[in-house]
Formats: sequence, structure tokens, C-alpha cells
Amino acid sequence: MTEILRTEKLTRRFGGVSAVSLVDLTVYDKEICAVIGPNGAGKSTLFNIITHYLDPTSGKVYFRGDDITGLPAHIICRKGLARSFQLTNIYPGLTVLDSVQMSLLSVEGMSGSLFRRTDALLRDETERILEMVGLLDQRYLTGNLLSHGDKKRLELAISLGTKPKMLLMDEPTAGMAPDETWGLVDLVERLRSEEGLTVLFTEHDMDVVFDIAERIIVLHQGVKICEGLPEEVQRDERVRECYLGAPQSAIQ
Amino acid sequence: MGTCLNSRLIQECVTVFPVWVCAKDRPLWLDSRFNDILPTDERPNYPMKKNWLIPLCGGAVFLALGIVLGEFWVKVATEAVIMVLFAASFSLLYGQTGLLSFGQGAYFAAGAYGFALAMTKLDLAFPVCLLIGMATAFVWALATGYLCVRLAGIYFAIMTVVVSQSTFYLVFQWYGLTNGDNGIQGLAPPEILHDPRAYYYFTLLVAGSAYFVYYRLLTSPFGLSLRSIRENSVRAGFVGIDVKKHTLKAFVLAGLFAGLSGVLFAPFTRTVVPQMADWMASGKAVFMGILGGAAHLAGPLVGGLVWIFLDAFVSGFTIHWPLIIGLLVFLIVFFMPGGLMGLVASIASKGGPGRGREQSS
Amino acid sequence: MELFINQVFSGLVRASLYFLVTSGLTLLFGVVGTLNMAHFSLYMIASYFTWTFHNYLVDYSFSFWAAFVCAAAAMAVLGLVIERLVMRYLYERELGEQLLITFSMVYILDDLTKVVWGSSPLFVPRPDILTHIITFGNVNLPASDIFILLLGLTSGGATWYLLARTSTGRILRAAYSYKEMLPALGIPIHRTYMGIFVLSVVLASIAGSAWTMMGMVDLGQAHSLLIESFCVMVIGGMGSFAGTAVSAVICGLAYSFAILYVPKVATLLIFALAGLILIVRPWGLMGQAGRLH
Repeated sequence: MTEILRTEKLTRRFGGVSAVSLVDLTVYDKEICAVIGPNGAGKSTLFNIITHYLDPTSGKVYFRGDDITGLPAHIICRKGLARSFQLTNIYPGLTVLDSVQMSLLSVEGMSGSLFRRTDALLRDETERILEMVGLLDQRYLTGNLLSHGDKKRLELAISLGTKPKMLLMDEPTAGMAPDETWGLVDLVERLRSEEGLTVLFTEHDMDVVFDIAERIIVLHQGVKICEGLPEEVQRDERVRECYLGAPQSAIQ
Repeated sequence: MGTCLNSRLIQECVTVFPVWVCAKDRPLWLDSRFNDILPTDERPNYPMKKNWLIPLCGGAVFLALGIVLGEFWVKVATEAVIMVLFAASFSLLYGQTGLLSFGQGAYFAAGAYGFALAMTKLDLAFPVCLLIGMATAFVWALATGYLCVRLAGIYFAIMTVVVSQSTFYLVFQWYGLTNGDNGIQGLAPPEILHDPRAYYYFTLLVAGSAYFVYYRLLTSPFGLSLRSIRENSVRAGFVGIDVKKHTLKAFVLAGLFAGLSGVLFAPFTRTVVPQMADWMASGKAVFMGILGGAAHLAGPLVGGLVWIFLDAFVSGFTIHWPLIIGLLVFLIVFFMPGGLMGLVASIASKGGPGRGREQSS
Repeated sequence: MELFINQVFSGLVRASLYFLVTSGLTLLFGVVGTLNMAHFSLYMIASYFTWTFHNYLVDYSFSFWAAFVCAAAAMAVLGLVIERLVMRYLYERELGEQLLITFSMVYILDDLTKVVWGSSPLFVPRPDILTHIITFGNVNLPASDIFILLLGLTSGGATWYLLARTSTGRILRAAYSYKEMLPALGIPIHRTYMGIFVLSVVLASIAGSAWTMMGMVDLGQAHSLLIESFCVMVIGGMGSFAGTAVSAVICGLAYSFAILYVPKVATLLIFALAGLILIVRPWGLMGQAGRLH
């Protein structure tokens, strides 16, 4: 198992509050790994720091051996680390096709090209991705017209368009209907086996987590309290405490 | 009850109807720039079908205008053709990239003054002067754009106002070089272009080529990048687009369009004055762009033509052109955010599925 | 030394005018989040109103003071009308459209002004008491300038008091941060906005009336001040009331000394300062980074 992503003592403080503090985590190539924790545990903040949506207060992020801490978002993306957002973050006025084509053009280094026509460029690849996420029929609709579930899928397709080695998904199934959720779970597993994608995701739906995650990292109040196989995490006392609540003394 | 119903009806007509026309089933009329994105089952937006009919007809009309019109109106048509490029400059930034610039006049003036100085001080040949004017606009847009694109939203808008007004003062105060308030006169084009009709065809050729470039720009991957920055600049960064670099590039290209129109304008009026740079002059680009519909390919074309011809027509019987144009733009932004092209596109798209898009191109 | 004091004084007078005209703009932007490009046209119209009312009352000794007050009242009414007809439909709109609409209002209002008052410059005579020049040694302080300075100080102080010390001010400060919450608390946000807009117009009116003591009333007066005032706003921090006051003083003094030593670039100096601030510290001297739109 080669490591693909590693963080060292990653910390982010908002004022006096540490949203994430001293988190060390390692994700290995081609694994599906989940980050869980109660609300406000710092999962989104962690993702935001890794992809440099937020600056870390201190700490380092390494991706495939390179230090990517504080690099601009577009450079991180081009290195093969993509992310999807918790609140759907799509292009409301672009068509589904354009949105995904944009990602592909961008990683092929053609986003600044003035002398080509966008029309047929990478069209097959775009449609392949759309077919994979099941949006092929809606390809001519603009993003704002999609249903919530479709927006989520578009969100994913935009990220996949950047041909990532690793994908960070923040609550990918939030607000989805059950069948949509399981469709997404299948898709993620397929992406891993067919394209060799590494996935790190946060999720509230524990069924999903325990279904596909091979390793689980638990955050509580910004601190990593436990890490391991799903069974180990299930059995862990500290995890029970942080979810079920425990007398303060028990933690200290 | 009756009057109540009536006023309700009037209200509907005044407010709701245009909204409905522009937006069909969405409340998105709040954003003018969304108007070009109605769903159709053809592939919408800029990557168009190769439809040569409309550009050909348009071209033929323009060619015919030079013969049919009297001398006064040929001059108006020349100005209109030049101003189309000025409107394109604004539209590239606002309609495509989502950056509201009140400062395009700075690059218009840079082009015009570059041309004028090359002609009067260096005594160079006409085509070389044109190129020097363009180069001046390029350099000025690069230098000031580097500062502007670091900012977003309202700060960007204010910075462009500051830049254009600074350009104005620079030109105004640098008496030794620019002749200050007096401007520079006597910028005649070469003998062969002295006739208004000849100059009309010359500008038509140059501006037509430039508009083809504008079209290619919008259909290129770069054009799509600009639209994704407009729609969601954060997300654009996260799919690997260098947002700052791209906006700077758009800014410089927009500066070149403004510069080209300035370069063509100087030998047309044979004068350059500092007022070309100030923010009211820049406002002209803003208004023309909004009038036509900044997000549409044909928006600047329609906006520029309508504005200049309307101006020439209205000036015949009233001096209150600013009032008229102010009201017009006011109403358009309020009720018809897609501009004239938005209206055309939405009417055309009702003609039959998928046809509207082709026509709007 | 006398020269220095004179320049400081005239700089402060200019600062006072900057502050009067910018504070309304800042207030509206700070509370409502709308940048009103037509603010300067309103300022200009106020000067014209002052001239008109002064003309009506020219036979009375108090004509100037009455014109001052009447202009403010008339402007308040005009502001109310504009708020009802236009502004209230703007607050929720996208920033670009707010700018475009208010920008088109500049054209409309300027041309209407031309229709009503014509395009030749007008002159408002000062009352006797303001024509005095107070002299200390070699330092000459015109009474009208002192009056403008006092106007700036009092209206600034009054607005500050309103914002910082009254319960209305608390609502106004909350209005910026928690726009959605206010109606839920039973506070009519639209009435709040209306009040703020009218207040901003009244401040513009005071500035416009004050201008009649400094120069001619004409159609160009708004444009020359507009950009400088934008700069004042940017330097102080958009939406920061205290910042506007500080930066008005900085710009006023900078201008007054620049006009003495490098007259050609005096205005450019302010632009350069604003450009620098925008690049290094876009939220201005006293604004908050978080308020960056």
C-alpha cells in the first residue's frame, strides 16, 4: 500500500476555537476511506484545508509525496486531487455538458486556448462521464434547472471531469433519495475498481459509510480520536462516547 | 373591483410580462446574464451550428448600407460599426466573465492617443499608426488590468472607474505630449480613405474581422472558461482554471477591442480629446453592451448599432438624448435583463424547439 | 508657518465637503449594501434646490438659512420618492444591476436637472455673516469655511451618535449582518432601509448646500467630486463610517498640500492613494476584511 495523501499536524483556528487541531491522517492508494464525526467535528474544515479552500493555521499536506500546503486551488486540482462540495457548487447558468467539458478542457491544459472550437472537443469523454453518473439525458439543461439529486451528481461529474487520482467528497449523498444514494455508492465502487480512484469522503448516513468504507477516521471537536477498519471503529469506546455522549470525566 | 383588476393587469403587463418573456419558467430574471441559457433540445449557447445564413445576410446589408445611405448616414453607420467593438469590449468582461467594468474608455483613449501620437509626433505610415495605437491599448490594459483583476465585485468596478479617471487626468495634464484639453487635431486617414464611403468600407472590413475574432473567442475553450468563471469563480478554480490569469487575459483582450475601436475612431473624427477616457465615455460602452445584451454573441453588435442610430435619429429633434438613453437602460435592466438579444432569443425559441438558438447566433 | 496653517485649514474644509458627500454613500453601502452611483447627482440637485429656494426668499434676511433647510426638506421628499419607486426594488438585486440602475439614474437625473434649471452656472450669494474673514496674524479664516467645517463636524457627530448610541443604530448595525433575521424579530427592514436612504440623501443635500458657498452651482460639479469621493470611500473602507471620516481628512489634507506644491497631479494623487489601498488592503483603512463582497 503506497500512501497518496498525508497530513501532518494540520490545524485551523477560527478566533480562539480550533476547528481542526493537529490532525495527522494518511490515505493509501486506491482505497475508500471515510471521515466521520458528529456535527461540528471539523470534517468540512479538514477538507477545505486539504484542498486549500481555507488556509491552515499550521501543519502540512502532502499529496503523492509533494508538499501541497497553501498551493492555489487550481494547481492542487491539476495534481490530481479533486473535491466535491457539501452544498452543491455548480455553474447555475452552464449546461451540464459544458460544465463537465470545462473540467476536461481544464486538465488537458486547454482552458486558455483561443484557437480551437469548444464544440466537439473532448465530447466523447464528456459524454462518457455523464453516462457514468447518469446525466446523459439532461446534458442540455442548465445546472440551475436540475433536481437536487441531479445537482449532486453534476457536482460529482464536474469533479470527475478533472480526471483525479483522488477525490474528496463532502457529504455526497446529503438530501438524496435512497435509490439515488445506493446508485452513487455503486458508482463510487466502480470508479475505484475501474479507474483506480482513491476516495476520501464524509458522510452522515452510517449505512453508506459502513457499506463502502474500508477504513474510517473519526473526528471529534477537531481532533482525530480513532482510525481503523469499520469493525474496529464500531467497537471503539471513544467513538461511542463522542456520539452517545459521556460524562466529561470519562474523556479526560 | 374593476379598477383593481385593471391596475393589476397593467402591473402584470409592465412587470410580469417582460419577465415571463425573458425568463419563461424561471425566476432568474434577477440575473441578466442568465438570459442566454434557456434550455432547448439543440445544444444551446455559443457553440453553435454552422449557420452561415444570418452572418451572410448581415454582411450583405452592411455592404449595401455603404451604397444606399446618404453621406450623413454613412458617417453614422461608420461610427456605429466602430462602437460595436467598444460595446464588445465591455460585453466580453461583463457578459462573459461577469466583471462589471466602468473603465473601458481608458483603453479606447489609449488606442486613439497611441494612434494620434504616432501620426503627429512620429509621422509614421497609417497602418503602422494603427498598430501602435493597438499596442498602446495593449500595454495600458496589461498594466492596469494586472491591478484590477486582483479585485472582485464592487471593488473591481470601482477600480476600473479610478483607472479610467486617472487615465483622463493623465492625458489632460500631460500637456507637452497630449496637448491637454485641446486634444490633437488633423488626424486624416490616407488619401484613399478620405471619402466617407471608403472609410466606411475600411472600418467595416476591420471591425468585421474583429467581430469574427470575438465570435471565435466566445466559441473557444477560453470563452467557456470565462463563462464558468462568471457562473462560479470558486468552482472554476477547483477544476483547475487559473482564475486570475484567465481574467487578466480577458481584460487585456477586452482592452484590445476597446483600443481597436479607439484607433478606428481617431481618424474618423480626425480629433482626439481627453474626454474619450473619462468614466462617462466608458459609460457608453456599458450602455451599449446592456442595451444589446452583454451575454449574447450578437449583443454588442445590436447594442452598438441601435444606440448610435437612435442617437443620430433622436438628436435631430431633441437635445435630451441622455434622458432617453438613461430611461431606456433603466427599463432594460429592470424588466428585460437579457437586453434586445435576450428578447429576440426568447421570442425565437418559441418558434420551434431548438430553432431559437440558431437564430440568436 | 502661516502658510502651513492656511493649507491645513483649507484641507480640513475640503475634507469636510468630502465627508459630507461621502458619508451618505458609506452609510447606505454599510447598512444596505447598495452603492448608489446617483448619489452625486442628488448632491448636485440639492445645490440647485438651494439656489431656487434662495431665489424665492431673496427679500428676507434669513433667505440663505431658510434655503438651506428647505433644500434638505425637499431632498428628503425626493429621496423618499426615489426610494419608493426605485431603490426598494434594488436592494435584493445582484450587485451589477444595482450599479447599472443607479448609473442610468445619473443620466436621467442630470438631464432632468438640465431641463429644470438650464445649463448655465448659477450663483448663490452668501449671507453677510459668512462673508467675514477672521484673521489671526497672517492666518485668514473665511467665516464660510468655518461654517462648512462645523457642518461636517455636526452632521458627522449626529450620524455617529445615531449609529453608535441609539437603539435605531443597533438595528441598523444588525441590518447589515443579519438581513434575514430582522423581519423575524418584528423589525420592518424595509422601513429601516427607507430611513437610511433618506438620511443619505439629506447628507448629500447638506453637502450640496455647503457647496454653494464654495463655488458655482453647475452641471459639472457632481462629476468632479464623484471620483474623488469614491476614492475617499475606498481608502476609508467601504461601509465604514469612521473610516470615511479619517480618509476624508487624509484626502483633504493631501489635496490641499498637493495643490500647493504639485498642482498638476493633486487629483491623481488621491486616485493613486485609492489604487494603492485597493491593491494592498481592499477593505480599506478601517473596514473589515469580512465585508469584502
